[in-house]
Amino acid sequence: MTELFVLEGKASNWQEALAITARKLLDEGCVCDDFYECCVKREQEYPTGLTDACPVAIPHTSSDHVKRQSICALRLEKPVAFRQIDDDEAEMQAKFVLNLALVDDSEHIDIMMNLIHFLKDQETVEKMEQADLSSLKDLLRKNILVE
Amino acid sequence: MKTVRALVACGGGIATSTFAAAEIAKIAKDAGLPVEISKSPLADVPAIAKDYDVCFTTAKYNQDVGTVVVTVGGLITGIGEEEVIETIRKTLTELASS
Repeated sequence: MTELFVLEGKASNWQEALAITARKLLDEGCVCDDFYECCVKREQEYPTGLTDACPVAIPHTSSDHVKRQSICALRLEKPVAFRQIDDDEAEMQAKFVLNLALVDDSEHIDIMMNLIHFLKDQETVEKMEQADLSSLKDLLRKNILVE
Repeated sequence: MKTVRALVACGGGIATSTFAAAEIAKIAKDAGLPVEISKSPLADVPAIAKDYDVCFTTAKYNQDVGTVVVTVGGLITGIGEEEVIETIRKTLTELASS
């Protein structure tokens, strides 16, 4: 059972964006106190921005800092720059931050499979941009979570 | 044909390597190649890579670790994905028949 939270917000850089999602996960009791700083540290070392074509970043950290498997999605008013997952010298503009609080169980494998396949679908980003917040949550729940 | 020992590594060894490992397992299965896959964080790669025939990394990785290293970020981003899949298939085929 994975929990999903969906927010909208403003951030002027990737740290602020990540702080919004990590704060929500902490407030909901899903992650440990050091989750945010561990995500930041990891992002600096191994960035998680996808591409400009798929303007999503998937920051996360190891499962030691997670209490319950959960995802917090943030739709940004204006995109912020993340470095790219496959080339840490390149930057992309993220309109969405999907902060992943993963537990190393079998469910997280299905979630990662669903998530990456969903994000690679060319229609996904357009749908994510146009949906109102509750439809966005439904869209993510149906396509990413394991029922 | 020998079983290829493959290591799949990403930053933390939990998110993108999980996805990449599943995709690589599927590529191997479709090609009928015997592959044993392990996952690890990138930080562990220099110490353990020599125990594997090939190391697939989801991030760019240029360090010499004494085994074949193949970058498979395209599986995640979808950029150049077909070429990445072809490279994986070719690498596994060569290693399985070596």
